[in-house]
Amino acid sequence: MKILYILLGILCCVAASSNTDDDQKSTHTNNWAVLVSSSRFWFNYRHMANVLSFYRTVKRLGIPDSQIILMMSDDVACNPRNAFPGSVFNNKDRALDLYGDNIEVDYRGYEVTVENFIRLLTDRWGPDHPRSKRLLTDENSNIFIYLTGHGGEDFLKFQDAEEISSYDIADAFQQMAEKKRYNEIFFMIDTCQANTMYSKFYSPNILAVGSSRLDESSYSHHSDTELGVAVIDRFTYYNLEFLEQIEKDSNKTMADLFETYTFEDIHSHAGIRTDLYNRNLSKVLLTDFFGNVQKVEVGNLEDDLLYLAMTNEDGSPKQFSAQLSQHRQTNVSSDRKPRPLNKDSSKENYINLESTEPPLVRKLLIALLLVSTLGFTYTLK
Amino acid sequence: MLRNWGFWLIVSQFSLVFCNQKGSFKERLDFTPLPKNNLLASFNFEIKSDTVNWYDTSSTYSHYTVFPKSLGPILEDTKTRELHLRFSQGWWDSELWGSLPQNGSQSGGTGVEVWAVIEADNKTEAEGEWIHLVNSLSGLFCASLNFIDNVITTNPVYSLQPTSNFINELPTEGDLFLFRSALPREPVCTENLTPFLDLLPSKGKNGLSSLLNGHKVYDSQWNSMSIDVETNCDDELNCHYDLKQNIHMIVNTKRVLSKLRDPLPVPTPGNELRCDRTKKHDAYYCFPLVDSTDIKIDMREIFGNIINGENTVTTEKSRVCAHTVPEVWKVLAKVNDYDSVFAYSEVQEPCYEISGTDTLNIELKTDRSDITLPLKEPPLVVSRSLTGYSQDSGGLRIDFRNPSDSEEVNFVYYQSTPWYMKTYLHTLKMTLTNNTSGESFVIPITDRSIVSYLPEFYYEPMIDRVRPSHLELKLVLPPNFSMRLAYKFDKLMLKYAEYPPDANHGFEIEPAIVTVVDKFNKVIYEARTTPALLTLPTPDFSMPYNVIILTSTVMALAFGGIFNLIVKRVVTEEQAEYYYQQNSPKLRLRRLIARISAKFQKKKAD
Repeated sequence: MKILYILLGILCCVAASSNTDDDQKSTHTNNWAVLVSSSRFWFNYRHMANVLSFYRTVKRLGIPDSQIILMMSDDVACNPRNAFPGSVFNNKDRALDLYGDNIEVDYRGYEVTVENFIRLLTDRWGPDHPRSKRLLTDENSNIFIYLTGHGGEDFLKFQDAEEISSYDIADAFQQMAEKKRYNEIFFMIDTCQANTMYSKFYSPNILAVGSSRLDESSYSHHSDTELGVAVIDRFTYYNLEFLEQIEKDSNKTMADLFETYTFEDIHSHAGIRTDLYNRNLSKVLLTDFFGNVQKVEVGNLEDDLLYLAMTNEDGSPKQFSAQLSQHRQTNVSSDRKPRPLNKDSSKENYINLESTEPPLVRKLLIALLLVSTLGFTYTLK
Repeated sequence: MLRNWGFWLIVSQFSLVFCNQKGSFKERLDFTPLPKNNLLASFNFEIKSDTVNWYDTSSTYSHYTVFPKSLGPILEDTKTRELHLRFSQGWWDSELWGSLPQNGSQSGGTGVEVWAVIEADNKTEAEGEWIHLVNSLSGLFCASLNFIDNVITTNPVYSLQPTSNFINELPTEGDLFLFRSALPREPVCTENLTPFLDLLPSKGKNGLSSLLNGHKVYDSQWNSMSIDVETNCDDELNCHYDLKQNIHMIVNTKRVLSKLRDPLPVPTPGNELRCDRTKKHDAYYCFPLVDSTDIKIDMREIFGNIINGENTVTTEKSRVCAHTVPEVWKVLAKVNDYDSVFAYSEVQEPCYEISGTDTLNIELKTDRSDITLPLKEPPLVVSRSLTGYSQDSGGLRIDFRNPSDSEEVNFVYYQSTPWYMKTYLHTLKMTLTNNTSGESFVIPITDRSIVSYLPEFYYEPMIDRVRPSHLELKLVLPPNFSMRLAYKFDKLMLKYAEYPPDANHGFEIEPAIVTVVDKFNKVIYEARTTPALLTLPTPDFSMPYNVIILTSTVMALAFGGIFNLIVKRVVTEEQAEYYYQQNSPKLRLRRLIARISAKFQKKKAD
């Protein structure tokens, strides 16, 4: 009798532990990024450069422009003071132009306000608001939120005219949680006393990092003397230094990134808040937030495989044994050109062959459980 | 079998659409060298949509061949029949560059400008559609067009009239409304060029659009990007959209070429200085000559790119044309870096047709860059400026000059000024000056004789926070005359929250539009003035905090005083002394001891 109980207990434990290992995998199906630079004026060039650096990074790792909300509080690229029109650099070597040839700014200039930011997060807009300027997330979305600007204890300045407080953001996140607008949020902020900004969060599944703790300033990294302004902040610089090594298929985790934060580099104490976050950081892939879900299921798989198998590269039907080709010829029109499996070749598409059935180990466990409960009930009789 | 059927079904559906009218796409690039080593580059893209039918609700199927899918539904949804967008930066120097390209019909004023013809049953409905339109466009073109509301929108009466032939051809179901608004403060940058290129079927990947690159377009002396949608119909009332996209830009070639060597302007090194030999020159003295006239303009250097092969969707071959003086200028086309001289079929307009997928580079070479085609003089020169210096009032002055000696100019002056400029039209004064003799005379607007110079005008005064001042003047300027219009306005106060974050910068007043018309009232030239920067009285934005601090201090002081008055008593020194003695700790202690001992004695007595 007792042995049976113990057996059951052990079984349950095993089943549960095998489940938690699965829990560590993110369940999201889409990725979004909200990148905000909140300060106006040319001398705040570095904040624009910070945001554009992350814009470039998330775009490089596969988040499309339609899923990036970029808020730029001032125009530095085409500012008359910019000696390099149409370019923004985050390093004085000027090797990498962040503005590039293809950029979409969703909110710019006077549009970057506290009100618009909160409206964006909670998705409360008037009927005329265009879709491309909305954060159209759902309960399966992982959102990366990056803020930079001038701030202080529990506030961040917008446009040198108004402030957002840490309570405002915390409440907006709670609203998002209640409206099932996210799966997980990764919140990153680079401003003075940044860690105070995430201290008021109380909603689930939020991972937050900040550049400096209470009563600490965040510093810029270096200046470009020919531009005449500082070009990037320290915290952002060292984050990017790490992220530059990341590719779309990287297995690097959040823990790897956070390990690189040192006082020697950043000159302030970077903060990490994990108490609202359930997953083990060494299991959270960086691409869960900076990248995009790449798995694409192709519906007419067999059809296309068949087509590829039946045709040569130039589109003409392959010669098989007489019987087979006769059978197939009716289906393959000779004027059809071969096409790749998916139209968008820029994305790494692969066919999701993961079976929906539970793995063998779990099957065995379930069977054992069933047998033992049957035995248990039998002994009770 | 089934799949074959499906295929034919699609084909037949395609042909159904095509039998009405098929869309087309054309592109063309024009180079015009201008004096002082400037170069005007004009990109022209023309897209014609398939036949559209808005009124026939039974055919919901709509097909987009080359017409952008991103724009079509917006136009149909808001019932926009004509749409014009302008994104411009810089100032057109007509003395140096002559008249505007395409007679100014494709150039905007600084910032962003938009006007549209909307079909609706009544004005309220049309206004709703207009707001919906500009909001949709703001999402599409990455510009703050969503800031456009009724407060800055006007309905032009004489200017910017619709050009679609649809208005005459097709009896519309509703009325047509023309709306116009501008954002003079709006920056124009790469994020506006991206959606512009996305509208093209080639998406900037090949054909002429492969030359367009934000770094070079926005490094120009002046640039203007235009998007015009018109609805035109044929005799059988088959209507389609005509989309014209243009980019005009002035490039200072010497500057661009020197930037390639050194991105930042540095003093010319001593050995490269070209000194005037007729004057004193040595290691310390140099009177520099003008820029050398020997120049080689290469597309790769000017645009950072070369043409990436022919555009495969164009209905006719893409053309690159150079408008030069063939005797001095040599135009070379380099296909895959093989030189070949342009075929100079016509002396005036040598054009090159792009074919094949090979890359193409165009090179303009000359040793006399000062010899260019004669400049076309604009029919009218205009400048506008703000006058006055006080915080509460000011004036606006507009100067027109007719450069012609023989012909009078008929034109319309359109101006929309924000509500916080309270204009006093009765102060309008016209001053006419003879250009040669310098004689001048003044006519106030109240004078009847002004009618010969100002035959007609339209004025809608502003209403606080509701609508702008809208002024349109039909003017006549005799040959060889200059005209000055001047009037006064008051600066109104804004509410604290209405100021932008950088209020001290000033408030941009949108450029005015001048439309020159011929005898038949046909538009022959269009130009914009520069924007004006109006300084309004700006409050000290830290004032509320100062007030809070000051009030708190006063309150604290008052509270302290009143509190003291209530709980304390004012006494003389003697009284205080007396009270102190009465209440001194020694006495108190003695009294306490006496009381306790009294109790004990009482107990003993018991």
